[in-house]
Amino acid sequence: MQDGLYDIKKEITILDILDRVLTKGVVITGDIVISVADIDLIYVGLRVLLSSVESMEKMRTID
Amino acid sequence: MNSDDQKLIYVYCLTSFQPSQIETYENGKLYLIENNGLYLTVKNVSEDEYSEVALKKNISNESWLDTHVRTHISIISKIMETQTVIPFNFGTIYTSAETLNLFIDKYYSQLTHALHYLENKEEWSVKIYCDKNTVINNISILSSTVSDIELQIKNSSPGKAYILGKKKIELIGKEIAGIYNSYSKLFFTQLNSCSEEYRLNTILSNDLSGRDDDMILNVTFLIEKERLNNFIELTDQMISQYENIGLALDLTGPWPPYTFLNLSH
Repeated sequence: MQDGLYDIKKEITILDILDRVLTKGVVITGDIVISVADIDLIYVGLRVLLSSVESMEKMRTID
Repeated sequence: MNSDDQKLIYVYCLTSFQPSQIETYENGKLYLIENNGLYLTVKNVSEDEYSEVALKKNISNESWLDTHVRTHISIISKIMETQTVIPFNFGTIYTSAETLNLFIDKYYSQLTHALHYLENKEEWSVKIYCDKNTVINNISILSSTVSDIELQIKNSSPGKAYILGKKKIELIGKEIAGIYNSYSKLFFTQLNSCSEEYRLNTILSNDLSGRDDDMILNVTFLIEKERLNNFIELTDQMISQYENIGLALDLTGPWPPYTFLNLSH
């Protein structure tokens, strides 16, 4: 199978990533927890900011 | 390992085996914490950047968030290439190895169960889009109700044809929703035949998807690795079959299995 995400050249949107890394798997929490209210704020912000965020560098390589 | 200014522990993921080559990621800052045969890939971070207050401020900064969430998911994806992972949420911070180990001890059996359940499975995301204009251009073929009214218009006086024409416009609006729904069901039913589990996600507006065509299906599948080629071939076949009627398919994966991480499994 392909390495990494299916088509690495394809734009993986920040929204797709945030949808997973912030809102799913909530059973695992650390000592410091980002509250749900903040996640809502991010989404509200994203509705405005999405276009500028998406024009940023895509799928940055790991340092 | 801890230094004064790097005393918080940021957790990426949990695995049953030692991930290889983690020293090559993040400038060699990653290390492992082992607990009873489970391995947590972590790094030390500073309170300046990741304390509760700092983190809340930083996640409001879209540039910081973009860079850091992409790095987070890239590292987990790299580790996932060679073994099953339990991905942790972005910004999961423990104040000490002791509290992290307490978490592992408490959920040990559920974590090992989840790792076992997710073994040899991958999370894939499918979004189906439909071009409204193509549907409208083909509406008399796609909708018998519209083709009926078109026939009536053809056989009517100019006045009646005008009124029926207005009715037709209203009708098209209603019919489009039905057509979207039937396309959505068609794709979902066929693709789901290859999956172990699925989650239907919210349909995103054009503003959020950033596309001109309309999202009609947003679904995440958990696929057995041995069925993955069949699944991808099926997506290819379906899209070549339906792209001429305005449908587009966006397939991404494999994602860390966030969507299907249920510690009660």
